[in-house]
Amino acid sequence: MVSVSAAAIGFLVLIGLMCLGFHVAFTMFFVSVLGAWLYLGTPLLLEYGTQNWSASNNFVLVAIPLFVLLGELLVRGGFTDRMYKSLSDWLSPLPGGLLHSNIGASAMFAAVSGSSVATAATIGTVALPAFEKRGYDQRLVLGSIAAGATLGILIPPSINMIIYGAMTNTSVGRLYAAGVIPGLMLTGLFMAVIIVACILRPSLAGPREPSPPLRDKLWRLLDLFPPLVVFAFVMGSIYAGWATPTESAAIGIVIALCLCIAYRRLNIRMLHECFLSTLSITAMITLIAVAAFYLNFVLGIMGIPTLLSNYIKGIGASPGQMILVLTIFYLILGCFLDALAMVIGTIPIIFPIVLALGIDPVWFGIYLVLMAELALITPPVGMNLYVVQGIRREGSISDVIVGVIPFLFMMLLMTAMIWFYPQIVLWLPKQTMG
Amino acid sequence: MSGRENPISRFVEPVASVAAIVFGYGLLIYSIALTWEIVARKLLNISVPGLDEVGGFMLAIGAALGASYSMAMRAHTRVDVFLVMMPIGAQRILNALALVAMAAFACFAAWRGVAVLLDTIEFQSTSPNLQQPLWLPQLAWVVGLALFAAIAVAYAVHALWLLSTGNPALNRFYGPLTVKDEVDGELRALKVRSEEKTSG
Repeated sequence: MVSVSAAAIGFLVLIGLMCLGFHVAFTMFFVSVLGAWLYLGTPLLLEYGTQNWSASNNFVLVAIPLFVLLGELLVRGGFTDRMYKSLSDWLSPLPGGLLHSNIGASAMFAAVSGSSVATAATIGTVALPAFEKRGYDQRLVLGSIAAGATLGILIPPSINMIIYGAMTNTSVGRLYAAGVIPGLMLTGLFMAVIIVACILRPSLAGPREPSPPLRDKLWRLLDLFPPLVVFAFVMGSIYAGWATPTESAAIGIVIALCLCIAYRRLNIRMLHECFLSTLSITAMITLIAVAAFYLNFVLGIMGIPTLLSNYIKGIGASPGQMILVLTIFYLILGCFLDALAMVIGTIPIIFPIVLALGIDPVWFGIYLVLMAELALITPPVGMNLYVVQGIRREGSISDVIVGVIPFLFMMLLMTAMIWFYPQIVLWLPKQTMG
Repeated sequence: MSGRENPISRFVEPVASVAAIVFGYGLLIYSIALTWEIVARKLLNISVPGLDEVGGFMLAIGAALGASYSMAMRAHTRVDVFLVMMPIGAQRILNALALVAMAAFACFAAWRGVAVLLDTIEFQSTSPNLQQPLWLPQLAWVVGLALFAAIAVAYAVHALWLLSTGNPALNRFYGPLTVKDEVDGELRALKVRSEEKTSG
């Protein structure tokens, strides 16, 4: 029978191999093979083929290429640039001015994109030139873009939620609903921190600029139409009970395609660029997901979930203590692991423990997404930091790192809030899906 | 592109790109079909069963074929923070090892994939919803897995060759995609878009 220390060694091997630069998918596969071979014998090792087939033709996971393609169509269709301008019309009067557009545009783009890195690249490219010669504090500008873009995986749709849902048999529709309120609240917290900072130190924001004529502002509201339509159809079809999340992604693609045609943005070259990037991302995620499903399967048969949950119950940890320990654990892990790999790689081990402690799976899914968001902006491996710095192409990355600190505290505050008031997460799914 | 200089990628990339584009059109057509099915189901009470199964097959086949493309683009996730801190010599060995490990993984997957296919043929298994023979989609899936295995082996052999001959290109070809590479990739995509906008 496998012991807790053996399980811990297995986990260390997993993390260790990742840190040595082995492919993430391989490390998960290797640890599963090691476990199967040492404890279960060859027949289970050979089960890999069947596991691979059933994991990779999983209809829930079909949502991944579809949502990736949807995001690509909207980014390459150029809808985000104009959206930014229109949002800044309405958000600039707040203390902090244009900084709020970074958060607002990120939140809105997040509502149609399942990826934070894509959000950071898009918003960054549009936003940074807008700040030139306007006298804003550089660090706050950079921080607000890098942090704002992490909303991409919290506000549905979200690739992270699809994989979490598929691996833990949690309804993706429920997870989507659960992400809405925390997503909006975090958007609010980000804006609040900008307002407070700019009231305390007005020099952080540039001089107030005259508002454009109301006519122009109203006219430009039309630019918010494309992302809102896509969001309305994708989410609406899920909550009306018409479509599963996978089907809703297909609806989103059809709408996005119509919009690209209507706005004359569709051409063969753009379409092919979308396809190339979609396949590359899909194959990368699926390979990791398949390895993780196999790891899940092997660990399950080895009895690791029961073992670990008994162990945790044995030491008498309360759910609150567990979440506190996990938060520290994920903060450290997130500093050097890729956010998605971190979430997928730890689900097979952590999820059974959490379940045994009576924590709601939907709640934990949202919590994990928050941890992944933190991982995206904690150095040294915070992808969003580098994306924003890469667009800027001058100065030091430390400007971006300092700039995200206030937002990082807001994310931790949000995590604490959903712990003390779980209804923030659980209310909407209950209302919409019973 | 990331793999342009690598002699193997130069060969793999154009072929794999065609597969990616075919997959992309497949996704578009599938999305339209799925949307039509939803509308028909709700408004006309006509249900087309089995579309979910078709989607599953597409994902399995696409992901298996796409694994080669991602390999050529160095898009399979690796953690590079600690690797870049190591001496060049150690990086060379670890990069070659990572490629060999990936090749072993890919070969194992292809081998077990063939076993699944053979079982399907022997038991004449059919898909649960469509009741169609399963061997056809599985054959395409196995072909994808086999191609991935062949390509991964080619990369591993190449990496080992570069390692043994002391060729400095090893880390450039087979090191993890650095954050800078990834950012450049994102930016290139955006640049293409803005060019199109100004020209169109």
